[in-house]
Amino acid sequence: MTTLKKSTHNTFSGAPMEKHDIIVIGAGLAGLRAAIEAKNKGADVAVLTKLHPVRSHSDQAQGGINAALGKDDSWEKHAFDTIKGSDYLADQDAVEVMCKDAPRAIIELEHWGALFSRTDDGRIAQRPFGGAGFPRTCYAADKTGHVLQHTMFEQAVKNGVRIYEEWFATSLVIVDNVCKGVTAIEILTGQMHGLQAKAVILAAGGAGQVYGKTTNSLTTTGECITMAYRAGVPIEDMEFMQFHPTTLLGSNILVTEGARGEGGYLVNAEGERFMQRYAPDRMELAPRDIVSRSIETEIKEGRGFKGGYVHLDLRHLGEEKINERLPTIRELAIYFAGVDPIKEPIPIQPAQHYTMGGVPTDTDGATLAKGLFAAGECACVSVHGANRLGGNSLLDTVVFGRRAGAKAAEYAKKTAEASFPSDAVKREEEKIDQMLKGKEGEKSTELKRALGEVMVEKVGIFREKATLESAMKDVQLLKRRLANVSVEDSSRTFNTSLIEALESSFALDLAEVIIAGALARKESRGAHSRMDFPKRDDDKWLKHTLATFTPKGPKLSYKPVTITRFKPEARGY
Amino acid sequence: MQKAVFRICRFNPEKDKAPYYDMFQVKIDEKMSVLDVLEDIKHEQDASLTFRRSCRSGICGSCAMKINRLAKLACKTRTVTEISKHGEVLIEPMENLRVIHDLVVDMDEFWREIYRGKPWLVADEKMLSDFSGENLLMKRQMETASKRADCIMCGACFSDCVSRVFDKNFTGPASLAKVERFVADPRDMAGRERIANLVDIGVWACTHCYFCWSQCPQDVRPVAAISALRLRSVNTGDKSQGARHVKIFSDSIRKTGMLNEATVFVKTMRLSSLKDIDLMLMMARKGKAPSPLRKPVPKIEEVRLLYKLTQGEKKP
Amino acid sequence: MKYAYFPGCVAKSAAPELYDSTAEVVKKLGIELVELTAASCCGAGVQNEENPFLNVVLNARTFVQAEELNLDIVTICSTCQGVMGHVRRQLDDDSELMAKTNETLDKLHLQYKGKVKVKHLLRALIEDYGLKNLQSQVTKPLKGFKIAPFYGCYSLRPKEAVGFDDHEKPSSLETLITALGGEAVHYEGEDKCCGFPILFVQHRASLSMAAVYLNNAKQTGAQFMVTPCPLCHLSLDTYQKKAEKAAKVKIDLPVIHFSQLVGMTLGIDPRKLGFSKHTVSADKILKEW
Repeated sequence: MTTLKKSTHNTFSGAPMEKHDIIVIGAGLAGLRAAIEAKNKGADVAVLTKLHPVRSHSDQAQGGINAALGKDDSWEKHAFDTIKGSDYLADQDAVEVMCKDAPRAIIELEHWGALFSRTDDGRIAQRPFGGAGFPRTCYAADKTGHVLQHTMFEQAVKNGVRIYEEWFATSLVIVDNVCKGVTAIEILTGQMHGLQAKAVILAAGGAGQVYGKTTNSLTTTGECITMAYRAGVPIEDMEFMQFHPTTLLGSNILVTEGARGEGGYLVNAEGERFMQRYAPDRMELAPRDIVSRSIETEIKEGRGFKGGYVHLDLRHLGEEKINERLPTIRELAIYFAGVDPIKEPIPIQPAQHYTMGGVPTDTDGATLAKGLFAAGECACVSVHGANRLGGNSLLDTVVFGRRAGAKAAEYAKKTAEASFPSDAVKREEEKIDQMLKGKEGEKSTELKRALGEVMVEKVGIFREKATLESAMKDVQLLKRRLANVSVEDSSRTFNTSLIEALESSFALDLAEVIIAGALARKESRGAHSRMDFPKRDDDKWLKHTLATFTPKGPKLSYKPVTITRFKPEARGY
Repeated sequence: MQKAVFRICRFNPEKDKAPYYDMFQVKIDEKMSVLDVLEDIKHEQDASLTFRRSCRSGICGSCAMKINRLAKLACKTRTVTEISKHGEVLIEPMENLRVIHDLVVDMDEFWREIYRGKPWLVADEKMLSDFSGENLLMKRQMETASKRADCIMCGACFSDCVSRVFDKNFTGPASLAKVERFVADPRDMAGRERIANLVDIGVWACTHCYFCWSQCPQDVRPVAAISALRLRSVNTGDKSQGARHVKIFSDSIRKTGMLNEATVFVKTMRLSSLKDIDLMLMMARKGKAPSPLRKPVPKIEEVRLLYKLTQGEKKP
Repeated sequence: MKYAYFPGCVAKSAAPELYDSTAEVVKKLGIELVELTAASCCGAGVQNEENPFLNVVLNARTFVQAEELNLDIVTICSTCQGVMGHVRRQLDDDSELMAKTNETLDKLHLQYKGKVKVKHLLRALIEDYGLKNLQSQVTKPLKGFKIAPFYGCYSLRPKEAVGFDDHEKPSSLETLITALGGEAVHYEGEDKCCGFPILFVQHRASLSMAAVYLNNAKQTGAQFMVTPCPLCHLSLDTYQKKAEKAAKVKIDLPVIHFSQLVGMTLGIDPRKLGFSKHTVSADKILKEW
């Protein structure tokens, strides 16, 4: 084996090292789509990503991407399903934009080479999905994210998009509500950089790793959202965390909704298809918040299996269908749960899966700070409201990624070069130096683990005042301990302990916002379920939560929901 | 719970002159992946242990490393299986790539090779701007492209590729699998150029060791892609030594039913076969050189008829 | 025990000592091999790069010849076993290919029934004949010789085609060596490639491969090397001196066929086992033994 030469770490000299029109943080579907669009519109754009692009969390999506392609389908029906699915918290104008653009977005992906599964006459196949009144989820077996992410990356390479690979953004530089750029660590060398930009597009995904049980990859730690929050940008609807009903017992690896879309059953320990009692019409294909609550209730009331799970039974689908449409989850079930779904039911339990909230944007990805844009899971447009339909997240990324890229390019064209504050990088560097020098402090992994437990136990599917307040106390205590965190690995060359410590610190801030929002919202809506306020209360709570950073903790305010076509109604399936 | 030993190759360029091995005693259960154990070691025993990981479910490709001398995904490798086979778990960084820190390698070389194959769909401009509908693609037409597109770019095949060790111009299995992904996609317009480029990127340098097939966590079978690409190349005017060898080999079987090593060797190598004249003479002396006038096998007409009947089948 | 016998091309021309030593060994052990004289070359992984369907059909024809004798196939070449195993597996898995193959074979009035098995003789010895049975016939055990097993690619990979041994921890050769009284030496390269497939096309790389792994075996203390594939033998023995030159390293490690290894221990006269046909002389070993 050959080894890299000894790296040299330079201290910051006082001037930003990189300048671009636009910097995109995150190289998943939204980030790359935004970058490609911006580049094609003539902007000097660069993508900053802490992972190689193909390792991004988008790569893990399984089930599919929605679009009203069918003759008997329509964007209006898609929009209605989405809005009802959101428990009427979604901003309907944004939903309309997304659903209208969906067919074009799918065709574009197909033309770029995406290998969608096909019908017998060669058209893009679509499967039924949760909360959808029509089978409109386009898919590539059960590795849709992998197929789309690789296609998107190929297009980024084709278009010559510049990528700062394995650079970790540590802060957003916003002065007087104007975005100036970012600071970032070059992970390879540990060097802190300042990247000056007229516009920054946040696209680094959700925050699942705040929870100890999540489908999200170990790197989905939400710092994109938290960075905006720390820089003074209010963040929206953070209390709405989606819990996916079917994740593998133990590992919480995702088992796609597509398994139910293809006809899978959910069965409790008494052999009953219990969804009959919760959503008699849609059964297993009710929206995720309903199914997760149902499973959790079955488990709590003693009808689950010992160990806290129920069964997802696919046996009746048959070997051929499983191997053709669900080969990935078959492999995952065999590998990670020791079960072959052709022969046995899969043990599943709900776990955190998606962040409905995020950085608030308009339908062009513009946030409340000038020059700051956001797209994908880290943004809150809001198209998903209080609960996201399966298949709409992948759609969200490409629709709003493109729009944000175009808008950012337009903005950059008519904006003078930003002036990057000279002390921004130095401050970040000093913070890192402090973390690396400290001896015998707290371990960040321990804090992360403790946080994860608190969130799962007390800020999960069913919430109530007492446990939420207890959770808040726990988090605040953990935050105080954070001040003493020291990183045991003192090297500069690819120091993953340092990165993990930074991620943990972001996670704690975000947890505080989630709990605050959950405590304040005295109703149940979508994925936010209060046992002490079990009903949806449109009179008092048909509004979005906004959380603004203060040194004492998040300050909450609210903004109205945009309603266009569909008046909020009772939500039954 | 049982006890196990992890022997891990370490290297920190800031303090180590050369890589060395660290031993870790760990407690494992039968479910734990190698990645689970590495995370435990990092968080409980040695925070400086450095490796890449993300999805922990075998799809992102971050955690490829050598486990008991073979490149695999740590998240998809069960620890107890490794222990029952080898007694311990030996962890080393992937081969054929420079080591940055412990198990983190520099993937630049890998990606450079991928880029050599122009890894994106070269599409018709008219098609690209026509949003009236999707290209119609039958399931059969997509099979090969889909199989190669299963590649998660983890690098395991590149690491364990024997040819790559001895020939740095050989672009490697992942790169060639990616080429076939596009060659086999009916929507791609650059097939001819892709095939014509194959010789330059070393398609004939693959030694068919099948390590790439064995080690691929997604069953992409790069060596099968390489054979399919060679097939296309051979049948579209490839005049390189590799292509000629295939034709000469096949012809030898048609003539006599068996391979005549001597004639195939001379015909393929042409003048440079003279370099081994000493070897050929020695073999002739020892009775190891088949006569160029060797008789065909019995029922050779059956063989020749099969050649005739399948003439139109020179495709993957 | 009776099998249809596919010796492969190389055993009948460039490595006749493999063919001859096999004949001696099976005679001694009472294994009956009925040679498929009308069979054609398996294609060696090369011919299919001109016409893969033809390669399937040619091998299917060989399978039919064995089926007509109601016997499974045994071969003494790892490459043949690998290629035929691969074709067999393809025909098993793909019913359309099977139908098309039989449609073509029909023109020769042949039909492949899909029943024949293909095994390397090494596998047959271990699985069918049994090592205990073999050991009971050993008259001259190996006396603790340090022997480097060189498996060769097609003995081990891909497991879908081979169905024998474990490519992650191969042991078949080691098992044989130990059963015959020798000591198997482990070294980097025992499961790697001899370079033969690219001998004609990437000559230098091919020779370097052979040189490195031969040298590794030598450095680990091996007195000689054993291999179940005559193509590997060509690369490792016949081309050893050329490999030494290319890699600028002195090796001088005798390489023998697995059948010669077995034959030695059964008390067969070494002259009948064809050691004199090797490039790197095995005299040292034979003298010591």
